Amino acid sequence: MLCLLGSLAVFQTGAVSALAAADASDGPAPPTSWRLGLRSTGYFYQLRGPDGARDDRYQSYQTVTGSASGLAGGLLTLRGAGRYAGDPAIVGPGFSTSRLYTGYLEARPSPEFEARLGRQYVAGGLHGLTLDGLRLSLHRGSGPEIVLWGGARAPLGLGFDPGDLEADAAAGARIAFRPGRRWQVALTGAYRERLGRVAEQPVGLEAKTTLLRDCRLLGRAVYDLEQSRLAKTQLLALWQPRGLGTSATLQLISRSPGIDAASWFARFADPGRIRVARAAIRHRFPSRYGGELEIMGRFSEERRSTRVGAALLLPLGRIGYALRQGDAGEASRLYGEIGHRPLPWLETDARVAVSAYALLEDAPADLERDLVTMTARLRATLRPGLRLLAQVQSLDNPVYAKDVRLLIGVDMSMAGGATRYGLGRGGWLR
Amino acid sequence: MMRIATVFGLTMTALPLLAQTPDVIIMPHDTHFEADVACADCHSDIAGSTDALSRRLPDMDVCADCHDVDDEEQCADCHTNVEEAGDYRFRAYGAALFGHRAHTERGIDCATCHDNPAAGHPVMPGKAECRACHETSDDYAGCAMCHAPDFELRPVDHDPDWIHHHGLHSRLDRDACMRCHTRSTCQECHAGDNVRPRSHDLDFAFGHALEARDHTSDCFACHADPGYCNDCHASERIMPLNHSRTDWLSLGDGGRHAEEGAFDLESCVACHDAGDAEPSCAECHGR
Repeated sequence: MLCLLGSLAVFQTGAVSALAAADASDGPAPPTSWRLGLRSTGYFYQLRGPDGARDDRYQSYQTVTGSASGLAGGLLTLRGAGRYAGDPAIVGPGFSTSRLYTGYLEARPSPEFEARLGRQYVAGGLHGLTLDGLRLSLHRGSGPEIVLWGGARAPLGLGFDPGDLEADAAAGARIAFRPGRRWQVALTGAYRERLGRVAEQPVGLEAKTTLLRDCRLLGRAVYDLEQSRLAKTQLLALWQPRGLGTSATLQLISRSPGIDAASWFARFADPGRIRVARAAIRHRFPSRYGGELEIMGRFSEERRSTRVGAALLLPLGRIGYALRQGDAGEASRLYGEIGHRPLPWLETDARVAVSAYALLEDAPADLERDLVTMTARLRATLRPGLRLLAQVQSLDNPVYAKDVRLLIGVDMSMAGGATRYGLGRGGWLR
Repeated sequence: MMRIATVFGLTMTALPLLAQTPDVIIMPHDTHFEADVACADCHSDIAGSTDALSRRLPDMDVCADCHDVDDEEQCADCHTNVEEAGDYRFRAYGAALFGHRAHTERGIDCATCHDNPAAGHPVMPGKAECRACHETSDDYAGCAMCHAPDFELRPVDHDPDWIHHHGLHSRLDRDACMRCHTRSTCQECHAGDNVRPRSHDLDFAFGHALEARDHTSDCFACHADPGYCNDCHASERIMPLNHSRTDWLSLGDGGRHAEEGAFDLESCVACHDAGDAEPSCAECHGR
């Protein structure tokens, strides 16, 4: 709590001084704009074990995001986002209290060309990755968009040390173009190393189309040159006729297990492919009542796991039931959720879920578990740039007889010269 | 005969409706630009306007500066319904607090937002044009510079349960998301700490074994470290239930673990991948 209050005080002091500085500079447009956001979260646990022993825990998270744009005469932008977590409960090699999510310098010498240097997330390769390196993009009008990136994969804990170029080098390219008004096609290629060995070389083709009326389609296929196999194929479809309140979605995936060529496990040749199918249909009447049905199946050779769910949609929420069966285990879940905004500055929501599950198929009674979750949350925007969050949750779970958690959070953001032209002030300073 | 009567009846019914079509004023901007008419000649004091609620559209007196508005034969040149001719209809603009003055004072010309004002029908700027400059509006507070507090910024399809199916929509039409949101908005939830707002349900810690088997590749999107699972499972001494089966490991055919590994090798890798070192599996499977 002291940490939370301390950060509040520091932030408020900074806001006041920044406000004074901004007032003093009224008149000529400020040459740059900036934004600073701070998210302070205090998370209190009170756990009571089956033997009645009480365990109180406290965690705090400080997340900072910031940017300064319009630097060097409008050419450069600096962005960053990081987190400090005081987390005494979880200690392990994979967890770090401090993280740098992004931190890069962006140069835009012309509207068509953009270069970013630093830590950034790129959607490249079989899975996206956080890259310590350089990303270049060129997009001229309706012409093709070309993206090139290269560098090293950031440390997995997202610590402040830079990625190791000798061990975790990564590079990729993406070319997207529109062969027609209703088509968008992209070619992708990537190269990634892990521990100094080639991990994957995926090349892919992706196409999006709105050729069918009220329907969006996406198809994607990725072939891994390193392992000489089709790594992933995917089809996504969304049908959403205008004015009907109906939407239907379909997702089909067929992929090989996510084991790269650098892994010791890659020696087990040709593991079974995994196929996932999801389909859902929703309808809302003008009265805002409605319903939804969802089915999801996961298949691996003759193995299967299926989940079927149905929900009644209400003007402010929904009530639903979902059932899962298959080799992965069994679960049934009854849930309800509600969200309401009684005042323009106040949002509330609550949720209850009652579940029974087992991690094995046909599990004996002593391996079946009950789980009840209740949550109530309140979010208040006290003024532009200042939000307050309060949340209480209770879990009746298999491990603890009682698990009550309280979360209090404060979000503050402020900005000066909210555009590169220095138009006004935003957030806390308004 | 019946058909003729039907057509006649429908025509007679439709005629009055056609006559009642609201008047629309035809204003070809390109013609006016060719005649050296400047924006401010018609949109008087547009450069000084401080909100989008005040009318900045010309009335007949402005037209009369150049046109003979008393000549009835010319009415149809501009009005689609001469009988019901009226002024420009003013449509409410979502960004009510938008002011031209703040822009023109800083030397931003009309074409920056309206593309080509000399075109037949200039473009009304959308979110993309706004965000070209207002790039630091990472949250709704920044949008409040132009949108009045009572304006509903949330699209109608963002129901209370939108969070459950927004992922698929964002994959299909990312551009639509980026009109309002930036990458940092996604990161507020997908930050990996799962504190607030959370990417997973509250009870995920207890039921994630089921979910993880269905969406392992989705897990990898954030939890890229194959040892991520192991950090908790090892420290809390939690092992998968199937490992306690009596036939989990047996000489000869390998037992149950060989069968599970063939179908779900990802789950093995999640815990047993040892990075530089060889995993425990190597003791039997060789090096």
